[in-house]
Amino acid sequence: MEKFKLHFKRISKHPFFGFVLFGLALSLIPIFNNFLPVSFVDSAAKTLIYFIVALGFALLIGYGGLASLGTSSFIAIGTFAIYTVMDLLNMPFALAILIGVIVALMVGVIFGFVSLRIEGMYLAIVTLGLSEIMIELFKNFDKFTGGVSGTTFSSFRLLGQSLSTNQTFFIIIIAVVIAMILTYNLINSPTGRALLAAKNSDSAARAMGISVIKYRLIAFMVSTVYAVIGGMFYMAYIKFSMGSTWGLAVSLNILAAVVVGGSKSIWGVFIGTFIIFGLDLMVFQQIPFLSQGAFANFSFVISGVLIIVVVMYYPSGLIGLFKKMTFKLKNKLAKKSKGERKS
Amino acid sequence: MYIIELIINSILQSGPLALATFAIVLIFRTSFTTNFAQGMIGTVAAFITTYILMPSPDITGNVPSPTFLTYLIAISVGIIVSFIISMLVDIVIFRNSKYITPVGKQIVTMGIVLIITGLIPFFFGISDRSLPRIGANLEGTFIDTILLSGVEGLRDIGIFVKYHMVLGFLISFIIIGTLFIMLKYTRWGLGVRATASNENVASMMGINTRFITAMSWAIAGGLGALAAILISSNKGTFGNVTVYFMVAIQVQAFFAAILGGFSTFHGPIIGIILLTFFKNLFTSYLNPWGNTVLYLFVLLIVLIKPLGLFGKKIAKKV
Amino acid sequence: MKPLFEKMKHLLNQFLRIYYTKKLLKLNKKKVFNENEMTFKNHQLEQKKERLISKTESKELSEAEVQTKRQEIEIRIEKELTEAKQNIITKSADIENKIIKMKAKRDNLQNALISKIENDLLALKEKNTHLEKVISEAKKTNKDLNQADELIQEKEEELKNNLRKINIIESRKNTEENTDIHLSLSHLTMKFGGLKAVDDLSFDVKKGEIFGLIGPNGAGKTTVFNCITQFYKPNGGDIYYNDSNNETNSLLDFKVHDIINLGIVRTFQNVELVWELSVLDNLLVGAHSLYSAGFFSQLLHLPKIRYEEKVLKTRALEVLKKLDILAYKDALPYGLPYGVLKKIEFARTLMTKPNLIILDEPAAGLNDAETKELAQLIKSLRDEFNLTIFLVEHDMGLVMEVCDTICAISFGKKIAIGSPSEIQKHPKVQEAYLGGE
Repeated sequence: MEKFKLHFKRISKHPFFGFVLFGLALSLIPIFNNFLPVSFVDSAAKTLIYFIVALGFALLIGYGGLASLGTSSFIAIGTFAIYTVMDLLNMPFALAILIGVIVALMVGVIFGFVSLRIEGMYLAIVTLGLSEIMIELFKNFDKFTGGVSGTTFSSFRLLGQSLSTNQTFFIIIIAVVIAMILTYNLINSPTGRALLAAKNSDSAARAMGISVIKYRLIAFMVSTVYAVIGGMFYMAYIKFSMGSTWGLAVSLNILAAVVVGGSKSIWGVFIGTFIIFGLDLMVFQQIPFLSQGAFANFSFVISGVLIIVVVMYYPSGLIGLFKKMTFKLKNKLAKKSKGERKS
Repeated sequence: MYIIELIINSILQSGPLALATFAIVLIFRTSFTTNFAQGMIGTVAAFITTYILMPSPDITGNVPSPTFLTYLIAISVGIIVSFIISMLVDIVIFRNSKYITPVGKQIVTMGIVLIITGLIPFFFGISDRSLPRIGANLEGTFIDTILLSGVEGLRDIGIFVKYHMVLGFLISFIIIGTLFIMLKYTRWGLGVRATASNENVASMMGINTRFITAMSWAIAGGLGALAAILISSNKGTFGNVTVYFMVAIQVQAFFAAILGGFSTFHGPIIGIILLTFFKNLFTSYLNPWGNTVLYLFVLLIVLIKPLGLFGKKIAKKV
Repeated sequence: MKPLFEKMKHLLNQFLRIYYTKKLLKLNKKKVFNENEMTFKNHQLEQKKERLISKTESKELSEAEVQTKRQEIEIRIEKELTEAKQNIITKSADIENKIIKMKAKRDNLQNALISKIENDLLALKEKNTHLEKVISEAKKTNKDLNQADELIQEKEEELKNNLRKINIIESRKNTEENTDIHLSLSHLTMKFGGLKAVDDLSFDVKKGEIFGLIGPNGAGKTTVFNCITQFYKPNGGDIYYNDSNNETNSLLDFKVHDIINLGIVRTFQNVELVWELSVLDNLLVGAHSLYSAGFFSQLLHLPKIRYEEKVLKTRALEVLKKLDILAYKDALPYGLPYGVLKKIEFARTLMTKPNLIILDEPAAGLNDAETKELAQLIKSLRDEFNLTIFLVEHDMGLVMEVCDTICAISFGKKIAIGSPSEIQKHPKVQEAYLGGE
């Protein structure tokens, strides 16, 4: 028993322990989905999908110090890639991932290389142009995208088996945990450190032998791949995608989620995604007064204000604020207990 | 003849776009960031203008022409509001966040885009609004006769230009000309140029860089507003003012700035003229791939000349 | 057509030569990593031994039993160590083989380049004798004096330029022959607009010396510095460098991020650390060029990257210990005393076992006591790690104390070079510093 306890202690200290526990906690949602409102489960799934996308974006913005406005275009590429491969060509999911990733990497390399060669700031401009191009492309390639009216997805298959919504939810949870683990690995690797060094001082990083453009491009590529994968799960779960919905607003909301929660912490990104997407989808959209009419975009205002406040006063995001608060609280408690002991 | 007509029309069309481009470059040079909120701040001005002209939109699709004076007042109010909003962005946000990076500033402007997107339906309703053409109420005035004779003269030699396009171009031309003169000869212009070359040195030389940047933001806001009003009114169609109508314009302005190079003021202006010309050329021959080809074309040029066509290399101290 | 073809061929050769040289340098880095591996293995097994011994001691055994156990452990560890050593030796032999192969490939191209340079040299010399003839003839037959003067001036200018080119080539040869030269600047020129920040500057830095570059404000010291580290591409002249294998490279062939692979590391005037990373992680950033694990290895946290991290962490701890700042290893650098930050930056440069360290105003921001300590540190580092140190400095006290050779420049031009005492006495230096008579 003693030995088991020791063992458990060692495992629980492992950084992946939290991620797996998180996954287990999430799987309560599909398990008890009979007792939960449908809208809640759907919103949770959407939030988790955006969380995957946000994790990739966090590497770009928190470690690379770069902002991109093309995220929604890459999500859209993911949705249409899975539709084309699985529905039109009747091929397996793995091939969809492969093709989606290759397309995203090709597009990403072109736009990333051109802009990052000049200066990091140009990435946002060029990817804004990319989203304009993509909207046109989605309209014109109506065979693969359904053109203006969008397209529906028949069924998500894995290993030849058609999955129910609930089963898809489980797959999404597994993907989330994997994404968290991979992101953790990457930010604690030489790549993560090289990105931080380049963000901190371009010239110092180069003097240390870091090819700045290479690592920035890697960060951008990773964020595009995460977005494409997120898009695929979106299609697998929601089963509908329309080119024109993937505009600037989605990209900006993902940016907001990452910045608000804390772009350098995986849990921070989750908190941000939960606030920006989760609260909106689960709470605000369910209230008719807030989901229609003049208040339809009410949540945008919140996101915008939060972005500005966080950038101005809490550069490490809400997670940084929480950490500071708990630290202070602990100090206070420690002081108190000390005082009690004295008396 | 066709190509001459295309060139002339492109130049006319690029007038209002040049206002937006100039505003972007002005902010880039004084605050070292790219202002993504500029189009949205301009959109606010366009909405305000429509609101003053027509509190409720016309359902028949006919856009009634208001009198010249009401139009002028409406436009002025729109521009002033944008001017103030933009200045407040600098004074309230950037001035109070000391250690903000250029990308941090970019992110703030993106946040402003979100806020305005959310607030517009709240203030102006959810349906699209319309702005009538600006030239429609000048009949009988002195400007009208000159413009009309010009347009007709061109028409006689086989070049068709639109009256309101010429007017929009003239307004833009006068304003950009004034700004260039101001840059060269006024204290503000000197301050902008000094801040652009080195902010720290400029402030040490006794230039009030805070005033300069605040003024630049304000002017950029006003320019963006005028651009938005001119562009939407040039369309002259029903429902020409929507929440997102400036996004495409903003992309054009940014790409023009990249094409011409951010390091000069004239480069981006030439950039927007070239961009508009090629856009018209590509959209008439390569439809529906016009925009795609255009932007990839610009990226190709930037790949060869990373600093833009007119960019100068600035040696950075390491 | 033929000259164009020749030119293309030359360019291709040049490209391949640089490519192979870079590969060679990467292999050299692997060698450095191998050395670190050795110390890591020693360290690891030492710890293992201690752990095992303490385990036996905790059990209640008789003295004799402990003794035998101990011996057993020692034998076991010894065995493992020899195994590890053997392993590393085979690995390094493998690398050595690769280096030889790569070198053979590279040397073919290098020889082509050298023969081309020789040809150029001959052509230039021939041209010069011709020019001299033309000039002397023009001087003899000066019918129209004005016209002849212009011609003579033009030709003399050309002659001078050619001579400079010859000098640059010959200085390369000189650097190749004298392996005790570490770094050689030859007619370095850097212009900003019309302004010449560095004007025709030449000097040699010998192996193992502390070389100081001094000059009043705006003399172009930092520009020289940035030309060496390739942040600026100079407009004229060349910079030659003898690496640890005594091979001569022109630094202009490399990009900024390749310079560290040659064994040159720099520090910055105002300490440039990564403030969001701990001190230990900052040192690992300095060792970035020693990692060879690929992206997927990092993404999946495969054994390869884990092993490399362990090895380099051991190296980092070793360096921190040597500089006496081990206590700060997990701290964030933000808010640490300035002297400590300087030391961290030093530690970071030492991670890759460089041959030449260049310091940009190391005494900037330090008080007198700290400067004295720094001088001691620089000297001891030089002696311990067998380094050459090149420093650009404003603080005359530090320069006079630590440097073996000093070069004084003013307005981008060399005004004096020599030992500290020679420089102190030099009238031109005094003039430059004190301004006129």
